[in-house]
Amino acid sequence: MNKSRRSFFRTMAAGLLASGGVLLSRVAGAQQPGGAHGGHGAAMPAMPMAPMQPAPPAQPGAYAPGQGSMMFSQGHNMIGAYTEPPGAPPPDQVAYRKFRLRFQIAEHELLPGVRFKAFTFNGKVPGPVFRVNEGEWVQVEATNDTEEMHTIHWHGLDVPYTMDGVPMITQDPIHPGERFVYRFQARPAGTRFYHCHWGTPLHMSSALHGAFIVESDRDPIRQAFPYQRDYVLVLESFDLNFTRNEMNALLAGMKQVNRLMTQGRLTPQTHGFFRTLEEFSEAVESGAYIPPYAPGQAPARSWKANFFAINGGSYPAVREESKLRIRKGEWIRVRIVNGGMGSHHLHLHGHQFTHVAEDGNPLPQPKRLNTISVFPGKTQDLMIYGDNPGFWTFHDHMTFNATNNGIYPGGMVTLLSYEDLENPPYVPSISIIQ
Amino acid sequence: MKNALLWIRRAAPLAALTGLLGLGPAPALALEVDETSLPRIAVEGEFFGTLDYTQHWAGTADGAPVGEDRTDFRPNTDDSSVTFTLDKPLYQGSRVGGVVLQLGLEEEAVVPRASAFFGGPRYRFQFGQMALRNTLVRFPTIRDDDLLPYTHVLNGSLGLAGSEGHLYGEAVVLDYYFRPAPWRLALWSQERAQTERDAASGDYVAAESARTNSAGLLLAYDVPEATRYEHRLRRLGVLVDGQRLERRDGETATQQAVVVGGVVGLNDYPEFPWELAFQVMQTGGLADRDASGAPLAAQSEDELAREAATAAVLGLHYAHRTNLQTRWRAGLTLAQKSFPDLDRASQWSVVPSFFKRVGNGVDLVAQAAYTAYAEGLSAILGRERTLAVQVGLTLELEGSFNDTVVDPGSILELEHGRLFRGF
Repeated sequence: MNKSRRSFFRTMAAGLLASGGVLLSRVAGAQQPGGAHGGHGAAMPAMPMAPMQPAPPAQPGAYAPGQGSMMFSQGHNMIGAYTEPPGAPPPDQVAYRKFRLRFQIAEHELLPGVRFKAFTFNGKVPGPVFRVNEGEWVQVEATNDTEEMHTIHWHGLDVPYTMDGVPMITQDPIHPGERFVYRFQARPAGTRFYHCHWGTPLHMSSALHGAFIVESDRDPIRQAFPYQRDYVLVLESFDLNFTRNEMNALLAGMKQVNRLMTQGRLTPQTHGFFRTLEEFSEAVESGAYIPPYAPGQAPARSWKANFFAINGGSYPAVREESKLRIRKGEWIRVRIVNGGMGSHHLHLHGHQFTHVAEDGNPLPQPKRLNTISVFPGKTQDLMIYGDNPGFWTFHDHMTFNATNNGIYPGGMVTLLSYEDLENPPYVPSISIIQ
Repeated sequence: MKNALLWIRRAAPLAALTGLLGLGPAPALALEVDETSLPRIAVEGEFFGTLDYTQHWAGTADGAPVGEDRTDFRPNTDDSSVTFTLDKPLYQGSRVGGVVLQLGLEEEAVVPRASAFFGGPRYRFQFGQMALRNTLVRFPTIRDDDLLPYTHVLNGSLGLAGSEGHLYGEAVVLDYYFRPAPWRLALWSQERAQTERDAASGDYVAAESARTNSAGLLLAYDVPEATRYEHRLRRLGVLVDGQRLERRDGETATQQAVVVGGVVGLNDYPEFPWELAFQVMQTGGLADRDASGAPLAAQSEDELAREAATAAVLGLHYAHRTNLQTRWRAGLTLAQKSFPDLDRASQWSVVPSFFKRVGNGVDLVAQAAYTAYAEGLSAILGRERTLAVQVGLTLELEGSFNDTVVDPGSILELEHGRLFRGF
């Protein structure tokens, strides 16, 4: 950590106290996530809100701030722990806007006839949409209701490093039954997202991802393109067979790991933890540890998506929140988040949209496009102007991604519909196989 | 194992089974909207390559020597096989249909298993050539049939040397799973292999008019592999088997057998687990008689399968799994069997086994099996003691392609599925 960053941490609390009056008034006026925000029209799934539960007594062997990873403590047991890591102002110094997320295994229907079990936030695919104001202090209590470990990474947000959610780099993974409190200030403004950073290929491509929107009253995009409605499209790609098999294998292994932990017998090596590369190399060379990735040691896993979705729905099961609605002469904002592992290239028919932000940050020179690439980990913001009434497809032009298990049309397809279209000569219906 | 021809003859129904399930080319379906798609192809295999040294010591009967001392030494790849399971999810619910095909890698190609199945989350109906339901517990020996006379209900219709006829047969089986509880009820009807004497040569040959000759049921408590360390009692079962056998007086009679067995975890420590396996088997015997009605006692090893017997097996198993990676395993199996209707007829065995893991699924193995026979058996078998030492390599493989099938016994289905709601 460089000097300026350390200085930021030291001075952060004092500065916030000085601006506390302004901050509190903002929090009081904030909209609950999941509802229309400031007149924005896109309805988002409601996020369960509940009062924070009091912290339970400290668990024996549980994570202790400042000690580094508890994984190296003999007999450690973090199952059911309550963890408040350092790095953010305590709750009595700033007013936090409080949220709760639960890691849960849930069954999700992508479209009629296709259901699968996935790791989820709050049982939803994708996780609920956060909408907060820039500068707001956010507290997210994450509860692990699964037998697997997890973290939450706030992708594109400038959070204290202890809140960054990278296991063994910034925190220990959140254990089964553990509650972990993330606290940070929402900044900078823009379209961000969050995802699990443990077992990332499976967890992200399962469903542990969701949008995190940071609004700003000084948003230059809103000033340049006055709009009332915005839409959040979380792009997802799934290899359902990979997800099912990996989850089964992982949960079977975790039963053994969790049992060892409750017995106080879990060694760091059992879970593949080492303090340094040198320690790891020694263990491999001595034969004390057999690397699971060695050729012939593990099956060559492959991931090949066979279902694609926007906000958890595969065409024709387009979710309400994914249906883009517009009126003639209206600007709408579309925030696109790639929460999966595939690359997508969305093409809008009949319009030239304006690409206004990338990775959540406004572009100095917006571009006129009709196709936008959204690679894994990226977000893109578009402004669409209603100048060509009709029904227009907005779909992934990597056309296999517009299929359901290879059957076209399906997957990553939605529609831009004009609400003020009178007596349209042709109205959309549904085609399942072409 | 020998006598592969007996099994090749029974593999013929496979083509019919695959056609029945739509797993093979079917021109009549060519105009369907749905394209044909591959089933899941699951591959499992076990390969054994051991160098076997066997020493037989001659027996005695009433003070007179019987048989002679003999030493055998041979490479042994018996019981190696690869099994292909081809199955597909069906339209309705979570049902699955498929076929099982096992290729035995013996001196000749053999097909010990060729069957079809249909099932749902709670049941499975299977028919064809398959492993007989005649044992409950696997003991820590190199091969499953290393202690065959103690561990399996033997086939009383068989006059052939070798073990295939004791292990495989044609069967119709219904398994019902009381999920999510780990109980299973199985019912079956089996056609165990049958032999008859060739009038000209006097040798045993496969019977021309084989028929269903046995039935049975099984009630078992069987913890899924994924959750085995959550439970101390990992397996418990009772198996009842009835065989219709022809006595030498031409009458038919039923020989019943009851098997009780289980596996208990001596600790719940996944890295260094100790397990104890046990099984007791009571065989009723046929009370064989000759044409005049006089009792006939067994005169050969094969005929012992028709004698009343009690067998008990106890196996202790330890696995050294540092970091949950198996490094080595060791087992000690003790077995005893007695024939109450035969004079001084009993035998016992002690079998220490060792498995050193040298690669993923690859073990160096060593095993010594010492068996002693009481005088009554010694006279029949022509040996008093046997020592069989095996040293070699085993390879296990498991994998699947096009894995589109939901396993109703998986953790996701048992713990996060809809099995609680019933079907």
